[in-house]
Amino acid sequence: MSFIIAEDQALKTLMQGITVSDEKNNTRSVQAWFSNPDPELRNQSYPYVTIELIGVEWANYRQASGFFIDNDRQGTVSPSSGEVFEYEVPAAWDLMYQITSYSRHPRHDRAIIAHLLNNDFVANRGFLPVPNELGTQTSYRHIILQDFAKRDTVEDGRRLFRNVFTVLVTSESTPDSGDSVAWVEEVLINENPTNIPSGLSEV
Amino acid sequence: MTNKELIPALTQSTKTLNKPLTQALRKSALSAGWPVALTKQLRVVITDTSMDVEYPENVSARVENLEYGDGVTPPNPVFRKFAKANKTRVENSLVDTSIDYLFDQGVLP
Repeated sequence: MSFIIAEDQALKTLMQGITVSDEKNNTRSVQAWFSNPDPELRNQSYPYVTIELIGVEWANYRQASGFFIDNDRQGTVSPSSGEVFEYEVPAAWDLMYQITSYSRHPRHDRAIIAHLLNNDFVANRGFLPVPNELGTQTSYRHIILQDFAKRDTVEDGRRLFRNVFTVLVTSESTPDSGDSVAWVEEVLINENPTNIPSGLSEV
Repeated sequence: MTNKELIPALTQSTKTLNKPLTQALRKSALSAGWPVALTKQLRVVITDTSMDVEYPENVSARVENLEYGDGVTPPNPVFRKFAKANKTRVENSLVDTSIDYLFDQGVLP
Protein backbone atom coordinates (compact mmCIF):
# COMPACT_ATOMS: atom_id res chain seq x y z
CA MET A 1 0.00 0.00 0.00
CA SER A 2 1.17 3.44 -0.75
CA PHE A 3 1.72 6.53 1.30
CA ILE A 4 -1.43 7.75 3.14
CA ILE A 5 -3.41 4.59 2.35
CA ALA A 6 -0.94 2.56 4.41
CA GLU A 7 -1.18 4.97 7.36
CA ASP A 8 -4.98 5.02 7.09
CA GLN A 9 -5.14 1.26 7.29
CA ALA A 10 -2.57 1.07 10.09
CA LEU A 11 -4.47 3.62 12.15
CA LYS A 12 -7.72 1.73 11.65
CA THR A 13 -6.05 -1.49 12.73
CA LEU A 14 -4.74 0.27 15.84
CA MET A 15 -8.17 1.69 16.70
CA GLN A 16 -9.86 -1.68 16.26
CA GLY A 17 -7.96 -3.04 19.21
CA ILE A 18 -9.98 -1.13 21.82
CA THR A 19 -12.38 -2.96 24.13
CA VAL A 20 -14.55 -1.56 26.91
CA SER A 21 -16.58 -3.22 29.63
CA ASP A 22 -19.97 -2.69 31.23
CA GLU A 23 -22.50 -4.61 33.28
CA LYS A 24 -23.68 -6.57 30.22
CA ASN A 25 -20.46 -7.23 28.39
CA ASN A 26 -16.93 -7.43 29.75
CA THR A 27 -15.21 -7.23 26.40
CA ARG A 28 -17.24 -5.00 24.13
CA SER A 29 -15.29 -4.12 21.01
CA VAL A 30 -15.13 -0.52 19.92
CA GLN A 31 -15.82 -0.23 16.20
CA ALA A 32 -13.62 1.96 14.02
CA TRP A 33 -14.76 3.73 10.88
CA PHE A 34 -13.30 6.09 8.37
CA SER A 35 -15.51 9.11 8.91
CA ASN A 36 -18.90 8.81 10.53
CA PRO A 37 -20.95 5.73 9.63
CA ASP A 38 -23.96 6.40 7.47
CA PRO A 39 -26.93 4.95 9.39
CA GLU A 40 -28.53 3.92 6.11
CA LEU A 41 -25.58 1.78 5.18
CA ARG A 42 -24.25 0.46 8.48
CA ASN A 43 -25.46 -0.15 11.97
CA GLN A 44 -24.41 2.78 14.12
CA SER A 45 -23.85 1.01 17.40
CA TYR A 46 -22.02 2.67 20.26
CA PRO A 47 -19.25 2.94 21.22
CA TYR A 48 -17.22 3.63 18.12
CA VAL A 49 -14.39 5.82 16.89
CA THR A 50 -13.99 7.63 13.61
CA ILE A 51 -10.78 8.36 11.76
CA GLU A 52 -10.52 11.43 9.60
CA LEU A 53 -7.51 12.67 7.69
CA ILE A 54 -7.68 16.44 8.18
CA GLY A 55 -4.30 17.62 6.94
CA VAL A 56 -1.34 16.63 4.78
CA GLU A 57 1.65 18.93 5.05
CA TRP A 58 5.16 18.72 3.73
CA ALA A 59 7.42 18.40 6.79
CA ASN A 60 10.13 20.80 5.65
CA TYR A 61 11.68 20.88 9.14
CA ARG A 62 12.88 17.27 8.78
CA GLN A 63 13.38 17.05 5.04
CA ALA A 64 16.72 15.97 3.61
CA SER A 65 17.53 15.71 -0.07
CA GLY A 66 19.75 13.75 -2.40
CA PHE A 67 20.20 10.12 -3.30
CA PHE A 68 21.00 7.09 -1.20
CA ILE A 69 23.54 4.85 -2.87
CA ASP A 70 24.04 1.53 -1.18
CA ASN A 71 26.36 -1.20 -2.40
CA ASP A 72 26.83 -3.07 0.86
CA ARG A 73 23.24 -3.32 2.08
CA GLN A 74 23.82 -0.61 4.63
CA GLY A 75 27.06 -2.10 5.85
CA THR A 76 25.79 -5.61 6.38
CA VAL A 77 27.70 -7.35 3.57
CA SER A 78 30.92 -6.80 1.65
CA PRO A 79 30.46 -4.59 -1.39
CA SER A 80 30.24 -6.53 -4.59
CA SER A 81 30.33 -5.17 -8.09
CA GLY A 82 27.03 -5.07 -9.89
CA GLU A 83 24.93 -4.79 -6.77
CA VAL A 84 23.97 -1.19 -6.11
CA PHE A 85 20.74 0.18 -4.78
CA GLU A 86 20.10 3.80 -5.55
CA TYR A 87 17.06 5.73 -4.51
CA GLU A 88 16.04 9.31 -3.85
CA VAL A 89 15.63 10.50 -0.28
CA PRO A 90 11.94 10.15 0.57
CA ALA A 91 9.78 13.26 0.91
CA ALA A 92 8.81 13.92 4.53
CA TRP A 93 5.16 14.49 5.35
CA ASP A 94 3.09 15.21 8.42
CA LEU A 95 -0.34 13.63 8.34
CA MET A 96 -2.85 15.17 10.71
CA TYR A 97 -5.69 12.95 11.82
CA GLN A 98 -8.76 13.59 13.90
CA ILE A 99 -9.83 10.60 15.96
CA THR A 100 -13.27 11.07 17.47
CA SER A 101 -14.82 8.67 19.98
CA TYR A 102 -18.57 8.35 20.48
CA SER A 103 -20.25 6.55 23.36
CA ARG A 104 -23.50 6.60 25.29
CA HIS A 105 -22.11 5.17 28.51
CA PRO A 106 -19.82 7.32 30.69
CA ARG A 107 -17.76 4.29 31.61
CA HIS A 108 -17.13 3.53 27.94
CA ASP A 109 -16.17 7.15 27.44
CA ARG A 110 -13.57 7.09 30.20
CA ALA A 111 -12.27 3.67 29.16
CA ILE A 112 -11.68 4.87 25.61
CA ILE A 113 -9.87 8.00 26.82
CA ALA A 114 -7.75 5.93 29.18
CA HIS A 115 -6.92 3.38 26.52
CA LEU A 116 -5.92 5.92 23.90
CA LEU A 117 -3.87 8.13 26.22
CA ASN A 118 -2.15 5.18 27.88
CA ASN A 119 -1.48 3.06 24.82
CA ASP A 120 -1.75 4.79 21.50
CA PHE A 121 -1.48 8.56 21.92
CA VAL A 122 1.04 8.76 24.72
CA ALA A 123 1.84 12.48 24.41
CA ASN A 124 4.75 12.58 21.98
CA ARG A 125 5.81 8.96 22.47
CA GLY A 126 3.10 7.13 20.54
CA PHE A 127 3.99 5.01 17.53
CA LEU A 128 2.10 3.52 14.62
CA PRO A 129 3.15 0.16 13.16
CA VAL A 130 2.80 0.31 9.36
CA PRO A 131 3.37 -3.01 7.58
CA ASN A 132 4.65 -3.04 4.03
CA GLU A 133 2.53 -4.33 1.18
CA LEU A 134 4.06 -7.81 1.27
CA GLY A 135 3.60 -8.09 5.00
CA THR A 136 7.28 -8.91 5.39
CA GLN A 137 8.40 -5.83 7.29
CA THR A 138 6.91 -3.21 9.55
CA SER A 139 8.01 0.38 9.90
CA TYR A 140 7.07 2.52 12.87
CA ARG A 141 5.85 6.11 12.61
CA HIS A 142 5.60 8.65 15.38
CA ILE A 143 2.13 9.54 16.61
CA ILE A 144 2.22 12.89 18.38
CA LEU A 145 -0.83 14.02 20.31
CA GLN A 146 -1.52 17.61 19.31
CA ASP A 147 -4.84 18.36 20.91
CA PHE A 148 -7.59 16.82 23.00
CA ALA A 149 -11.09 18.30 23.21
CA LYS A 150 -14.15 17.10 25.14
CA ARG A 151 -17.21 17.58 22.94
CA ASP A 152 -20.04 15.96 24.91
CA THR A 153 -23.52 16.75 23.66
CA VAL A 154 -27.13 15.61 23.79
CA GLU A 155 -28.60 13.75 20.84
CA ASP A 156 -32.24 12.70 20.64
CA GLY A 157 -32.62 13.48 24.33
CA ARG A 158 -29.76 11.16 25.30
CA ARG A 159 -26.22 11.92 26.38
CA LEU A 160 -23.58 11.46 23.75
CA PHE A 161 -20.00 11.44 25.00
CA ARG A 162 -17.57 12.65 22.37
CA ASN A 163 -13.83 13.13 22.51
CA VAL A 164 -11.70 14.62 19.80
CA PHE A 165 -8.05 13.64 19.59
CA THR A 166 -5.88 15.43 17.06
CA VAL A 167 -2.75 13.47 16.27
CA LEU A 168 0.16 13.97 13.94
CA VAL A 169 1.61 10.95 12.16
CA THR A 170 5.05 11.34 10.66
CA SER A 171 5.31 9.82 7.23
CA GLU A 172 7.36 9.59 4.07
CA SER A 173 6.62 9.15 0.40
CA THR A 174 9.09 7.80 -2.08
CA PRO A 175 9.52 9.99 -5.14
CA ASP A 176 8.66 8.20 -8.33
CA SER A 177 12.15 7.74 -9.73
CA GLY A 178 11.56 4.63 -11.74
CA ASP A 179 12.94 6.21 -14.88
CA SER A 180 16.37 6.48 -13.31
CA VAL A 181 16.56 2.77 -12.62
CA ALA A 182 18.29 0.77 -15.35
CA TRP A 183 16.28 -2.02 -16.91
CA VAL A 184 17.65 -5.54 -17.01
CA GLU A 185 19.20 -5.93 -20.46
CA GLU A 186 20.85 -9.33 -20.24
CA VAL A 187 20.44 -12.37 -18.04
CA LEU A 188 23.53 -14.52 -17.72
CA ILE A 189 23.12 -18.21 -16.99
CA ASN A 190 25.97 -20.47 -16.05
CA GLU A 191 26.06 -22.85 -18.98
CA ASN A 192 28.39 -25.35 -17.33
CA PRO A 193 27.11 -25.95 -13.84
CA THR A 194 29.37 -28.09 -11.72
CA ASN A 195 27.62 -28.15 -8.40
CA ILE A 196 23.90 -28.79 -8.75
CA PRO A 197 22.09 -29.09 -5.43
CA SER A 198 20.38 -32.38 -4.82
CA GLY A 199 16.77 -32.40 -5.95
CA LEU A 200 17.42 -29.95 -8.78
CA SER A 201 18.31 -30.76 -12.37
CA GLU A 202 20.29 -28.95 -15.03
CA VAL A 203 18.26 -26.64 -17.27
CA MET B 1 16.92 48.60 28.01
CA THR B 2 17.22 47.17 31.53
CA ASN B 3 16.27 43.80 32.94
CA LYS B 4 13.01 45.27 34.19
CA GLU B 5 12.25 46.41 30.70
CA LEU B 6 12.83 43.07 29.00
CA ILE B 7 9.62 41.31 30.07
CA PRO B 8 7.35 44.19 29.01
CA ALA B 9 9.27 44.41 25.75
CA LEU B 10 8.73 40.72 25.08
CA THR B 11 5.02 41.06 25.90
CA GLN B 12 4.75 44.05 23.60
CA SER B 13 6.54 42.29 20.76
CA THR B 14 4.09 39.38 20.84
CA LYS B 15 1.11 41.72 21.11
CA THR B 16 2.07 43.36 17.84
CA LEU B 17 1.42 39.98 16.24
CA ASN B 18 -2.25 39.94 17.25
CA LYS B 19 -3.39 41.89 14.21
CA PRO B 20 -1.42 40.09 11.45
CA LEU B 21 -2.20 36.72 13.01
CA THR B 22 -5.89 37.58 13.17
CA GLN B 23 -5.80 38.53 9.50
CA ALA B 24 -4.00 35.31 8.63
CA LEU B 25 -6.48 33.23 10.62
CA ARG B 26 -9.47 34.83 8.93
CA LYS B 27 -7.86 34.23 5.55
CA SER B 28 -7.34 30.55 6.43
CA ALA B 29 -10.95 30.23 7.55
CA LEU B 30 -12.19 31.82 4.34
CA SER B 31 -10.00 29.52 2.28
CA ALA B 32 -11.46 26.55 4.13
CA GLY B 33 -14.94 27.69 3.18
CA TRP B 34 -16.12 28.98 6.55
CA PRO B 35 -18.95 31.55 6.32
CA VAL B 36 -17.68 35.09 5.83
CA ALA B 37 -19.79 36.49 8.67
CA LEU B 38 -18.27 33.94 11.04
CA THR B 39 -14.68 34.50 10.00
CA LYS B 40 -15.01 38.23 10.72
CA GLN B 41 -15.69 37.39 14.36
CA LEU B 42 -12.49 35.40 14.89
CA ARG B 43 -9.64 37.06 16.72
CA VAL B 44 -6.15 35.90 17.73
CA VAL B 45 -5.00 36.99 21.17
CA ILE B 46 -1.53 36.27 22.48
CA THR B 47 -1.21 36.17 26.24
CA ASP B 48 1.83 35.61 28.43
CA THR B 49 1.51 31.86 28.13
CA SER B 50 -0.50 31.00 25.04
CA MET B 51 -1.93 31.94 21.67
CA ASP B 52 -5.73 31.82 21.77
CA VAL B 53 -8.50 32.26 19.26
CA GLU B 54 -11.46 34.24 20.56
CA TYR B 55 -14.99 34.41 19.20
CA PRO B 56 -18.35 35.51 20.66
CA GLU B 57 -20.25 33.03 22.80
CA ASN B 58 -23.29 33.11 20.52
CA VAL B 59 -21.32 31.62 17.62
CA SER B 60 -19.23 29.16 19.62
CA ALA B 61 -21.36 26.13 18.74
CA ARG B 62 -21.16 26.89 15.02
CA VAL B 63 -17.43 27.55 15.16
CA GLU B 64 -16.67 24.38 17.10
CA ASN B 65 -18.91 22.26 14.89
CA LEU B 66 -17.01 23.52 11.88
CA GLU B 67 -13.66 22.87 13.52
CA TYR B 68 -14.38 19.42 14.95
CA GLY B 69 -17.42 18.23 12.97
CA ASP B 70 -20.78 17.56 14.54
CA GLY B 71 -21.13 13.84 14.09
CA VAL B 72 -22.81 14.22 10.71
CA THR B 73 -20.75 16.87 8.96
CA PRO B 74 -17.03 16.07 8.89
CA PRO B 75 -14.51 18.41 10.52
CA ASN B 76 -13.19 21.35 8.56
CA PRO B 77 -10.28 22.33 10.79
CA VAL B 78 -8.77 25.79 10.69
CA PHE B 79 -7.53 26.53 14.22
CA ARG B 80 -5.40 23.43 14.62
CA LYS B 81 -3.67 23.84 11.27
CA PHE B 82 -3.20 27.54 11.96
CA ALA B 83 -1.65 26.89 15.38
CA LYS B 84 0.79 24.39 13.90
CA ALA B 85 1.74 26.69 11.03
CA ASN B 86 2.24 29.81 13.16
CA LYS B 87 3.82 28.45 16.28
CA THR B 88 7.30 29.46 15.19
CA ARG B 89 6.14 32.95 14.23
CA VAL B 90 5.54 33.83 17.88
CA GLU B 91 8.73 32.11 18.97
CA ASN B 92 10.73 34.02 16.37
CA SER B 93 9.35 37.32 17.62
CA LEU B 94 10.44 36.51 21.15
CA VAL B 95 13.88 35.47 19.98
CA ASP B 96 14.32 38.65 17.91
CA THR B 97 13.38 40.87 20.84
CA SER B 98 15.68 38.97 23.19
CA ILE B 99 18.60 39.26 20.79
CA ASP B 100 17.98 42.99 20.37
CA TYR B 101 18.06 43.24 24.16
CA LEU B 102 21.38 41.44 24.34
CA PHE B 103 22.87 43.83 21.76
CA ASP B 104 21.47 46.87 23.58
CA GLN B 105 22.98 45.68 26.85
CA GLY B 106 26.36 45.13 25.26
CA VAL B 107 26.27 41.42 26.06
CA LEU B 108 26.69 40.75 22.36
CA PRO B 109 29.28 42.91 20.59
